Amino acid sequence: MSTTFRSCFVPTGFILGYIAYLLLGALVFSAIERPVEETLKSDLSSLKAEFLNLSCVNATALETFLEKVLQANKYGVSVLENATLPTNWDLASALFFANTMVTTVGYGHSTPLSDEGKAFSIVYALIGVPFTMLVLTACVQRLMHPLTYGPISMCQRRAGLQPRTASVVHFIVLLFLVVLGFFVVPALVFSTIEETWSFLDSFYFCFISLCTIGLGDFVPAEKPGQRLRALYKISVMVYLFVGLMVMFLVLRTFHKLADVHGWTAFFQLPSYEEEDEDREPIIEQEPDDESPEAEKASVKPLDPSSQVSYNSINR
Amino acid sequence: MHGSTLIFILIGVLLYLMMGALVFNALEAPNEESHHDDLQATRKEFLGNYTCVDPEHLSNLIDVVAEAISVGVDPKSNTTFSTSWDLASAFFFCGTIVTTIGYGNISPKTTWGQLFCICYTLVGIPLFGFLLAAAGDHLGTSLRNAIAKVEALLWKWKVSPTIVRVITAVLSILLGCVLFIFVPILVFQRVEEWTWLQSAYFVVITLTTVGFGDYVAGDGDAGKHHWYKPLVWFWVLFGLAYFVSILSMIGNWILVLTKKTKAEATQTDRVLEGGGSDKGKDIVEKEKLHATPKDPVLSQPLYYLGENLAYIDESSDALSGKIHLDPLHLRRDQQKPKTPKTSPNEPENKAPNGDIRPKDPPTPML
Repeated sequence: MSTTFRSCFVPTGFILGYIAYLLLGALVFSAIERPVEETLKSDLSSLKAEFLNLSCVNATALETFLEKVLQANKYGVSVLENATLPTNWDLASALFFANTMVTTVGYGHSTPLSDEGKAFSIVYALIGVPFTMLVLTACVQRLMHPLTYGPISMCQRRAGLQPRTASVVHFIVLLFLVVLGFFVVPALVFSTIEETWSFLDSFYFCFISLCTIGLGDFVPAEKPGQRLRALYKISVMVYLFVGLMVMFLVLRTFHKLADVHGWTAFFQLPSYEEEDEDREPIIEQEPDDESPEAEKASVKPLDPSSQVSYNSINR
Repeated sequence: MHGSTLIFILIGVLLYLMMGALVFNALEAPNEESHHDDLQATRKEFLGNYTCVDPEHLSNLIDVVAEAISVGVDPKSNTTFSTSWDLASAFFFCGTIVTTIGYGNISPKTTWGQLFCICYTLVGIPLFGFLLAAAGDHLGTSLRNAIAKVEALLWKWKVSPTIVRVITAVLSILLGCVLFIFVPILVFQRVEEWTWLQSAYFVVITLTTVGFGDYVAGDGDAGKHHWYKPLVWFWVLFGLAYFVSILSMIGNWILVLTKKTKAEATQTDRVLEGGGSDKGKDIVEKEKLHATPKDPVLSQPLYYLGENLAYIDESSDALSGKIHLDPLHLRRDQQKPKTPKTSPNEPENKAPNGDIRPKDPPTPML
């Protein structure tokens, strides 16, 4: 009885809570951003009026010109006189673009303009996104052992902590290190290299990129006359990829933590699975490795505490 | 996963990125250059026609206009202010950041706005993750119920179970495709007045959560209706659930494919080595049991495909994006395997290190 009640109540509760959360966000953003936007708009219209007064240009000609400029600007083509910005599509930039697409960050500072480019992007993304997710998951699974299971078991053995406490302690330490190493330090680096970015701007950029949101209001290496642009772009690419991996790692650690504390069972979510079977190689053949792994794996379905899949709860 | 495997996959990804970079370079650079030349010509013409305008003044104006555009302010001359942060748009913005799509057509510019964005997202993304899992599960269930009717019909006609599974799997994929991809493409084409390619591009870029923002539904005239943006957002939610299940299925196929070929290779090894352990013998016996073909050429691939596509029926719930693996040869029952977690295999797999099945497996030596 309670299971069915929970299985109805929990998703509905989630949806309602979620909609409420979105409404709250909408209200707050509206309240914060609207006045600033109004000021900018009035600034702009007064500047335009001043411009028109001073010159012989009529309004419609200016409008047409501006429209064209804005169209081009949207796609990254600049009309300013001394803008010797190299093309958006040299090899390093195109590589950067491909990387932002397959990691689903998608800044949008440069986008394919041609029809063929768009068609190619569709196919490229459909294949590249699962491919990248696969790679990231594989890497993270490998990293879990030295970075999560190892320290936790060490905590338990050396300090004699309970599994629950050990996992909490480990998670807090991991979180602290990740924030320091992948948010604070890169933010400092970016705010030094990019002259117009404050520390908060850089931190905001790191956060928005590593969550793969990628709004695109801040994009590194876009300044005209940037030195060592190709190298800069490639290092940002590497940073994004490694950072994403680390975020996945943090997520999985959190999932394990939730499992240990029984939260996943409460919310009827898929439980964390330690996938030891992954250790088997696909190229080399090591039949000796098989039997202990296989035995461990064959024991798994009998283990009552590991829920194999979400729907097994209701069956 | 072994280190060498990982290195191979990493190299594969790097090669894939390089290939993409080369293609985009070839496709886009000339186009961009022509746009650039166009623009410079327009500018020269403008300055030539209106000689009282000096270039510096013009650059100044363009600077401010560009900044306004990046904020999302429309600099056209109608003076009545219509904010892009009205409630419906702000709701849509929040929706896009917690799904990690992040179009960027509007973004917070104030310090407080950015700070709030960070905190908001930290809570919102996991929250959305739960919602996605729940929505995906319900979606899977309703799709499955719809397919079950077709399945019942097929059972009545006494079609072989393998073919039933194949048909239901293909049907569920198709149904999802039509509902969440093709119909929205048509709708956007009508409402937003985009071409078919632009609509398809928008749908794919949104549902994979890349979200460039060069095309955003609701930015044009259609956005004036208050119900439009929330409706788009609901489509995004269910489309995402569907896409995530498809993507994880594809990933699963690849992984299981590699595992399966490896498993077969080690089995041959064992059998060739003289039976190996009892377990090895058992496994080969079981495989032989399953591998009794009526038509050795056709039913083998169908058997693989059907058995592995059973995964789709029962795993539309497994939407957490994690790849569920199982030791394939150890969870099978004696008869028809009902493993919920085996994954589809390419029936035409001619990988060099696998698929020894069509040839006669050597009898296990006692």
